[in-house]
Amino acid sequence: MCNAGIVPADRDPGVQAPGPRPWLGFGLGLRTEHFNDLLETNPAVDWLEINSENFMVAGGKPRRYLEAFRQRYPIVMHGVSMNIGGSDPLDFDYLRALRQLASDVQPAWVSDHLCWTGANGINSHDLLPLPYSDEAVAHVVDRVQQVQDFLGRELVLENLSSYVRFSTSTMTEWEFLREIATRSGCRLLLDINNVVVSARNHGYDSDDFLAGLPAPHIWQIHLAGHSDYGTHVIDTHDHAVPDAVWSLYESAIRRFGPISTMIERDDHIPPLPELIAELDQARRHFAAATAQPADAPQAASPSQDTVAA
Amino acid sequence: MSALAQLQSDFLRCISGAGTPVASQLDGSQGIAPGLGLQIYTHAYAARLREALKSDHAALAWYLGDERWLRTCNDYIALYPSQHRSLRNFGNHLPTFLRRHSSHQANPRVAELAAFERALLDSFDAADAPRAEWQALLALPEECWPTLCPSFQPSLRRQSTRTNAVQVWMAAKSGQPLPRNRRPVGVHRAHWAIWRDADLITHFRSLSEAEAAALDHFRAGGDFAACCELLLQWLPADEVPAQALGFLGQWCSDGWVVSWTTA
Repeated sequence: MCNAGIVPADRDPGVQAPGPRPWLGFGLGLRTEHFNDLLETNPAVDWLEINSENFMVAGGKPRRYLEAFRQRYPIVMHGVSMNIGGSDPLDFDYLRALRQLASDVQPAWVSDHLCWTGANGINSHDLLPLPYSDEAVAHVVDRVQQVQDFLGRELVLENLSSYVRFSTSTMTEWEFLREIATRSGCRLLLDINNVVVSARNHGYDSDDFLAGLPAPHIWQIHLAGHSDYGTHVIDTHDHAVPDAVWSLYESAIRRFGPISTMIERDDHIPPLPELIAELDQARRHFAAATAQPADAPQAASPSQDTVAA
Repeated sequence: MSALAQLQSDFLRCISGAGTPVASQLDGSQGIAPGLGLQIYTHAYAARLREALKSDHAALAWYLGDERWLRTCNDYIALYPSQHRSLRNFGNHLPTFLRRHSSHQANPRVAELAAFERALLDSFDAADAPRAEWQALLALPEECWPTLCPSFQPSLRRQSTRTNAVQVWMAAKSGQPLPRNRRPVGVHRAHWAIWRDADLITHFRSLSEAEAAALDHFRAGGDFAACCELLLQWLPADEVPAQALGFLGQWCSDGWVVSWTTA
């Protein structure tokens, strides 16, 4: 396996190296458009990722449906409002609601984004990039540890698509991710599409990105599509997974081994069978990557509940 | 303020249109040009908020038409930047905003339509609660009736309108032409209850003046004896107890009542 020497000298002595990586198989982001089809047709979906905020409501249909899905599928909670990189104080009302939802749902894990979403009490409802600086690393690590202590579980953080880079950055995005993961003990949600988008926009090699990640911390993969405007690419999550993302996905699986994978479609939601077919495509790419002979790193079999990274 | 906090404050002000320049803090040495990157975030900021408003206020957007809707959204976004963790709540202040907005003050139907849509939204994901049995009320000893007070489903909402805003909403939903309105404000005065049933379907229906008054009375914690006093405004004394009981029976049948409490 690559990236064996992931533990930096300045790892917090209280931070444990990740244990075996859980394996959930191939999942989908749960969208309201598919609620009834999923319940009626029981398609070949191994697990579901929910948007946490959509279910942080008092009652009604959202919670009723969630209970039905929870009884049928392993659930992963994925949030957009933690503002883990923000400078406003952590919102403990939000975290209490998140902890309660996690207690109700018993998810396999809880994720959000390595970003900031607002400042001075104003929420942009966007996932905004951080400068890749020592100041930001220290800031985020401290907040991740507070959140992990509060939730009583490790947080999983996703890499972003981004369209600006800050002049105060002193390291690459993957070095930034590595520092935060290894110093806080958090896990990573590797969005392959976001890597492709940011690599195009900022002119770096996506393989360098993968090579720089701390492999044992990678807990989950997102696959999605984007919009290509020639001069730049925008992460719209409204297209089928393109070839560039499939290709990088295979590279990631060859490099890191089996990682729970899902299709994330946020707009122009197609009929469920179309996403199921795309999920089958993910399985085929996964099989191709894990069957790589010769000099490629060998991935472990995903037939068990957990997989050593 | 730390350098990071200052950067985030400046960046958010920039993309939300407050005009703070941040291009000098961006690295343009390779890849996407800083100006283009900022444009992407600036466009996304407003577009996302407008989309949330349109999703929750489709009838209002239809009623105002594209141009007025866009202006209204942009004014609202500027005056009420989101302080909510979920976009679901971003439009919470929209009815208040519209009541005060110079372009809409002369047409109260606009604010009432927004308030009606928010009531439907709030009812949709309000907390669940059990439904009271009518037999439990009938089993109460006679001496308990004067202090009787029903408690109601969290999904139950009340709205009173001075305009035909609800008819506008129905036209928008059904794709019918906009209802003509040549009568002055106040002629359409109506009272509405909005609630979610046991199958999680959201409903609304109109209420008479007397029923609305009785419901508001109980929702404010009033008891059965005082409700009967209140209903004397509309009914002869000998008809009041039966009508009050009739309201309770209808509300119980509609699934609005959670429990019957007495002092």
